Amino acid sequence: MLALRRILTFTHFTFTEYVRSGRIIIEIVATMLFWALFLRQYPVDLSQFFSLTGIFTLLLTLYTTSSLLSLGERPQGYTIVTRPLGRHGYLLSHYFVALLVVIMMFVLITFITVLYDQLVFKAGYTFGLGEVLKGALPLLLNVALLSSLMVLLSSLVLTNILRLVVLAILAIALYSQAWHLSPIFPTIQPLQSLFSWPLYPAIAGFKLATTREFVGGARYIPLAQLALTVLLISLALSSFKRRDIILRNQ
Amino acid sequence: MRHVRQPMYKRTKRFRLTPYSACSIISFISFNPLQGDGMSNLAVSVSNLYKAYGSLQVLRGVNLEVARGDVFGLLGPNGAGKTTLIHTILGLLKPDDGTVRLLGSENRDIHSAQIGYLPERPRYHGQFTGREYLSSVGRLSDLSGKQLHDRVDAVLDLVGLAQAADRRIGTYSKGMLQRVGIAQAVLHEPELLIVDEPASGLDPGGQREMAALLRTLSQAGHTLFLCTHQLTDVARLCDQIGVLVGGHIAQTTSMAELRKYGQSVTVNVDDLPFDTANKLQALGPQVRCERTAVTLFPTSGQLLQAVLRQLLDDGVAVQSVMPEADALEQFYLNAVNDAKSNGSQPPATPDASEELLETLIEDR
Repeated sequence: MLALRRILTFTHFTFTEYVRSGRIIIEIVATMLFWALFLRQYPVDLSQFFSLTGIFTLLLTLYTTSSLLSLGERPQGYTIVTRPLGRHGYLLSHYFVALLVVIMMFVLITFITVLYDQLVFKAGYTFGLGEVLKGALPLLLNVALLSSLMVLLSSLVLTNILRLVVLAILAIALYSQAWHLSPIFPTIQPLQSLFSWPLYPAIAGFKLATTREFVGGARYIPLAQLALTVLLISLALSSFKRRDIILRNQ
Repeated sequence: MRHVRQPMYKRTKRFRLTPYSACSIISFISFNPLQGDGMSNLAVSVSNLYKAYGSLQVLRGVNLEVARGDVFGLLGPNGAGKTTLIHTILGLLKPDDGTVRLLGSENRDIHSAQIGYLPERPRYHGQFTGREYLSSVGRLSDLSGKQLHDRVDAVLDLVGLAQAADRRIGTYSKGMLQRVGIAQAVLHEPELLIVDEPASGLDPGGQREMAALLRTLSQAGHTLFLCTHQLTDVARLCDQIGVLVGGHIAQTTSMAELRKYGQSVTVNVDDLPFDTANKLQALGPQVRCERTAVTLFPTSGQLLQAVLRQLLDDGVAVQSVMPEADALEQFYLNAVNDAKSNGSQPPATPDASEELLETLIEDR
């Protein structure tokens, strides 16, 4: 309980600093721009809404997590990480703040879209809370998954060589179509099959957010997303525990 | 103490080849005989510590011990590895070899609430007021409620920041930032306080105030591990001194020992003949000869008379007799020079250290 309280304290502290420093304005402006460009022009149904916000929230996750991790690399961290909060609490707090910011922006987009659609377009359909939650669950689990991958790939956590190895694995898994043209495809194919399976929960989660049809095996997709997220963040914590902490003098 | 271990022999006596053997084996394996009982008389114990950044060996077998309640001064040239040693002691850096025991335990997590740290460069979260920042870091050290509120007020008073407590840290001067550093380090009343260059970048007035603050803390019973270039502070504050050169502790001594000696004296001469130098060296290890100077450390009236007599007898023209640095400074310089002449790696220049740090960050 003490450990959890420390993590929550530092999460609150980091979030407050993020807001007060004005960095969050970038997320707010990006969110408003996204809404104005893609969701304001015409009334959208839930499938369109989740397919558009699914991509936007992932891009926002990339930015926000990098921004938070760069805050974690400042020498201000020395006096924090040497306290009972420790290395795990330090890294997890930054991860949680990244999630919190992206979730807040998602809630903001949803709220504005619903309000605008009702007031301006007088849309015949409504964003029912149940349906929104059904779409939001896999979407936000994808956000958590991507953010945990970003944490794992940060310079705080992995050495350059290991980061390159993870990125190479991702490249093989993601760019499978390109290998068909290559003479070494038969050699790469087993690797591609092996490396691409961890991506399945993310891709299926994105699809589930747009369809919101939790039937058959789809009911277990959020569990797979969660399991993969826990795995990635555990790897990050395990690696961070063994790393030398050398923070930048900015 | 939160963590008390049974002595090892009691564990081994319990071991039997019974159906419960597996449990006993696990218990035996999980017991680390090096793990302390928390009752050690040593606040810091570093044994055979090695640390390298890539191919650059920074720490080369550091050994040192600091007793509880003592004030230990770590001296050394720029780039000698002082901050690396401190960061390794704090667990920020992982040693390549050797052990670090803090307050009797190798497991720093056990005692992290008992350790306060003031980093060399005062960088704190500028978006918060002094009071907000201290309240937050206090909560991270498990303080809460009235106890937290009282401690924050107490340390703000202690470091003289009560008036500026509700101003944003980003508006503080460098001296005030150092005070925030001290405040956050002592907020949770740690037993061991590790202070890296507390006077770094402060004006003479600020340095004097910082020294007074550290003196107050040492009088309050904190064990102080102090890394500084300010020899006057070391002389006033420290009980024990260690000089880190070329990645290892070249010499240690106590201030009580140094205070027995007076100042050193340098006799400047025109040109010291080789024979005379040999005769002077024979007077004792306190005499160090160079071509145009003879240094006596530690000096005494008899020794000085003997040296002057020998010089005059040999017809060497004496230019001047000057009291030089105090015993501490001479001790430090001798330790550094001896380490160099004994083949220790020359210390890196400050520029080299900065370049090294940049390279390390780039390589991460």
